[in-house]
Amino acid sequence: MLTVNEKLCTGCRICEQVCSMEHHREFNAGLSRIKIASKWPEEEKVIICRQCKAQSCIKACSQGALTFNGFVVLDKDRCDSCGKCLEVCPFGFNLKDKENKPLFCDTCQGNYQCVNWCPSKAIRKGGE
Amino acid sequence: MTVKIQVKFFAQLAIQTGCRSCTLEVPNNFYQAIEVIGARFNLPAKEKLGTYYSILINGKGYSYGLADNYELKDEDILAFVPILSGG
Amino acid sequence: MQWFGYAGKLLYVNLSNGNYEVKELAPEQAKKYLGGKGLAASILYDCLQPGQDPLGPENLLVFATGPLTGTLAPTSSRMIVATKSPLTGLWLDSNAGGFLGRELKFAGYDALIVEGKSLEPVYILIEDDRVELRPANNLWGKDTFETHQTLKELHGTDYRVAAIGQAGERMDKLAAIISEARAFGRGGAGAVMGSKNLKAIVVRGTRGINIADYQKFVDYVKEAFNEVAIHPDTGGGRNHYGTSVIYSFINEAGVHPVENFRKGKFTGTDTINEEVLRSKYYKKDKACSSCPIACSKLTKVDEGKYQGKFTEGPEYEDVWSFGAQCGNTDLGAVIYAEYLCDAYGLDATSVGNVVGFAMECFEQGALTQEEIGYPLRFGDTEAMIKTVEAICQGQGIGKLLAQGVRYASEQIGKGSEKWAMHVKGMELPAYDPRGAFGMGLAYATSDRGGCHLRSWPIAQEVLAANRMDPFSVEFKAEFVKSEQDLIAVIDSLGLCLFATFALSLKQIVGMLSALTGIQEFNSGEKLMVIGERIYNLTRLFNLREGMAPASDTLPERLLTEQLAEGPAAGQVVPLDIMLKEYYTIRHWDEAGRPLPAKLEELGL
Repeated sequence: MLTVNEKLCTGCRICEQVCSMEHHREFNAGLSRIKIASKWPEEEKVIICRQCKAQSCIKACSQGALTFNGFVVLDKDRCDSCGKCLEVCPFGFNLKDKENKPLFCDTCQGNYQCVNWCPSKAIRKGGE
Repeated sequence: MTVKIQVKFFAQLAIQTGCRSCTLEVPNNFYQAIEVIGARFNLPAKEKLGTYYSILINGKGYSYGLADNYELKDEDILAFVPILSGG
Repeated sequence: MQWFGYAGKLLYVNLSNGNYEVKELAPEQAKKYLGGKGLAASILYDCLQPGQDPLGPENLLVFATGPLTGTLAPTSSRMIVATKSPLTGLWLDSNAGGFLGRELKFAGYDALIVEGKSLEPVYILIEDDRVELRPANNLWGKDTFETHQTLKELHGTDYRVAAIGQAGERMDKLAAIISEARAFGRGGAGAVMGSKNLKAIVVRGTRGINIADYQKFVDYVKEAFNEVAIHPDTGGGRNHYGTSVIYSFINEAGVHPVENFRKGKFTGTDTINEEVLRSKYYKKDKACSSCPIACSKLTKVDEGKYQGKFTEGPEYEDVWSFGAQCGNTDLGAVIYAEYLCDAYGLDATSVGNVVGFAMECFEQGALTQEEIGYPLRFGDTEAMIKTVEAICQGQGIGKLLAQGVRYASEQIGKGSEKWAMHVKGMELPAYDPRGAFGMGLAYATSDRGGCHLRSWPIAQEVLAANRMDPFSVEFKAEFVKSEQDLIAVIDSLGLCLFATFALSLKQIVGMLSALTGIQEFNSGEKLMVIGERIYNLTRLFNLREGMAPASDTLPERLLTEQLAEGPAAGQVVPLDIMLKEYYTIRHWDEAGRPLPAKLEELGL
């Protein structure tokens, strides 16, 4: 589970860069599973799957494409890109890839690279 | 022999020491004076001089050329400045 | 060719006929000039005919990123805009962070080159391969805040914007280009945009930036992040206070110019200093792309006359320009003045400088109350704000002052030229070189005129622990020359100057060569040669534009009038000695022209 303190977020988007680098070995914010949305000069909004206990996304999926294994796992073959999982997210998570399939955080195999790299500690592992 | 000088701390050193400016009685030898000030404000004064902070005497830079027996005078201003690089 | 770090493409947009063209980035050009400033210098030198009117359709406006822009390298947010400056008539590159550079790279371009002039107001919309000119009649006349808001509402918040305000539309020589909370401030690039009827640039990119040696790059970047975090400046004071961190200290050292450089130590620092800024106005840290320093501080005025006004900053330079330079001690007024400059699109450093100049003109009788409309004395905050408003709105005396101190003093006459604190037409920033001689040489030889961002010897003369003697000419020429070359490299890579406080050239080389895989970038020596090449090329540009050799100088005041008090009391800048040595070290002749052998060595 991830916790986010948006007051601390500076909007540097190092998390976006690290995420796409870790997963795709390139810098491409569009492939990142985390996104900082901001409406200057207001506060930053951190958009990422929090791996929460509610798991409304899993319940909402009619294709059985989502399971929970410490984080939300997507079976890409089963996903029909309907977007219901994102509509029901209580945290407003809404990131999709180019095929409109959800971009859930996979915790970088438990390494949580965005947490490691965040210079302002705006994003943390639950309990830390 | 002691002298009464004004000590100033700048930027994050002001936060660290909780003091921006104060008057102190210190030994008139420069190096002994900064030891005393370091102890008073819990700064590792001598060791970090040059790597973490530097000192101005009356607005002019302290440099390594300062003699071992350099003497401070009453009303001198000693400014402790963290290492800063630009604006 | 497979590019790493670079996008490998240059986008040329012609506003006169509405066409655009995508050209390949030539590998030789990248190897010779890196990117950013260097790339823009080579494009401007090759494509801009000498002697053109900076505000005519022939002038070019080049937005260029560096190979590191948009990556994870710390502070790799930077982009430059280069053009022939309407303020100086010479070379201009103005640098900003934020997110526009990253987005242009994601869209697939290293640089955007704008040519010609549109008949009607337009903005350029770039979405990867799709490039369009869109009408901007409905945006013309709007300030930069409203322009950003309108364009983001129309296209989406993920679109990155750079726009001019009313000052740019009017082609005021102090007009800036504003990109969200960052500014391409100095030198009047906003006026060039206005002259082309170009209101804004809107960019969205979805492509990636490739890495040549993934593991090596990650290792170097990790090391660099660590260096930035543990350095007392980038990881300490700058992170906490922003650029104003140096404020009290620069004043203590007696090099904080007061009332148009008449004094070197400000007495109003009880209400105006970094601590007050932090405790009374600070709201939140903000950062540019991939920057752990987060020197940008969102500040806001909570009560009083300027309630609700906000800015990211104010930077040290502007706390000075709207503070000591005008004798103002109200920090809220500084924030309001900066807010106005952001909104109308003006260079806040130059605007404060020119207001201080007008105050001196008033006190000396060169400008009268009838001409100004009110008494304009040093220390009169209300009069300062009125004047800033007049400059922003292009009204009354503001119309003249918005053209900078050089032009204004030429028009005013009556000996006011002596009080115009500029070099080559660009207003001086917030350091008095009489208390740090090297800074005088840096101002005099900066390729874009009176600016502190080409070399910053004051750091070594006043700030650093192991100092150079501020009142000696020894080593100054050598230092200024090598720092100018180094900063030319940094400005060409897409890094922020502040990264160099913590990072060594070796660490930068490590990141750059692992990212790009380009052999020619594998040593600091090679990069310094590129830096020297770039600095000589901008020199050639200036000479070709007819810059007189005698313009490598300082305002008379700094050369002949001694400061009365403070640590620098009794000093004037001994510029001639340093300048002569500087020319010798640069292998330039006595008139400051690069010698043929030097040019040959640099491949120019």
